[in-house]
Amino acid sequence: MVSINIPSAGHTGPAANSGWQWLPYTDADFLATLHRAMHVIDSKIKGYQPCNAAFQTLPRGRSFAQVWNDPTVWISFDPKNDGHNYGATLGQEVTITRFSLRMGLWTTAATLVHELAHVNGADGFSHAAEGTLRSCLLQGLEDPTIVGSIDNVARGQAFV
Amino acid sequence: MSDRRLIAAAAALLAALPATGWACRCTEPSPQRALHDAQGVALGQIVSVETGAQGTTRFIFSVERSWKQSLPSQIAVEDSAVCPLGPVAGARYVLFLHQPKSGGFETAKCRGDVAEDRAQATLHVLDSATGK
Repeated sequence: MVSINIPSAGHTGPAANSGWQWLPYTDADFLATLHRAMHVIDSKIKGYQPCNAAFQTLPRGRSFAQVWNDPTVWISFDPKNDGHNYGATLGQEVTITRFSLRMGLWTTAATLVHELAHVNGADGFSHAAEGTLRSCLLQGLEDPTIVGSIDNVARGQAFV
Repeated sequence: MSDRRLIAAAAALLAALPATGWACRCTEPSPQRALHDAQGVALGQIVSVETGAQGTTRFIFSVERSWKQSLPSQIAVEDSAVCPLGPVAGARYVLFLHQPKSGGFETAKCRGDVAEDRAQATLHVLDSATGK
């Protein structure tokens, strides 16, 4: 399974970048929410074939289960609580915001799946990562405005 | 080596490569919130874009109008490495600018930036809130 960045893990996440942080979980309530979200993913989503198939279409080609079972993928904590930032990824390093965790296990689960799609190569300018939620039993959590899909349409119309 | 083994070896190699991608999950704030959070706001045009050695992107922005603070006619803006706006030379934008302690200006996706042709509501909020 993916690894959780807690102090005893001895993992050092990436340095802060563009206002994002990859910190260990030190708050028991946020860690509990993360564990609940991971339990949902592990028990319901990891073995769901359409989700695995959707992930295999992403640039790195791994199934969702393969990404989920990769312990070199780390889940860290970002204290942002601004109401519109959920999570971010740098390479194999995912961070989930306080805001996302405060929204509860379903928002956290959706953010994890979205960020793992980036780990699997989904780009940051299209709707590819968010679009995986439709195939991963989280369609109700999909936000059509998330990361760039609308912006890219507008950009294409303006500058093509 | 058989085709199947070659494909498996290529897949294993690909999976073993370190990913260098970045991305974020976020939604755009309301113009009111974006205005509140920004240190300055500018309407104008992206003049040029350059990518640095670390993959960072910096662009020159020609300022035609500004809010919250008076800005020079041209400013250099650093795009976020994690959650980039993805500037395109020639594009006209309303930019919500942040000023890091290290100086200069920076922006990112989900800070309220909007292409001018979709900025009518944002411009209304900016003018109303700042009394312009």
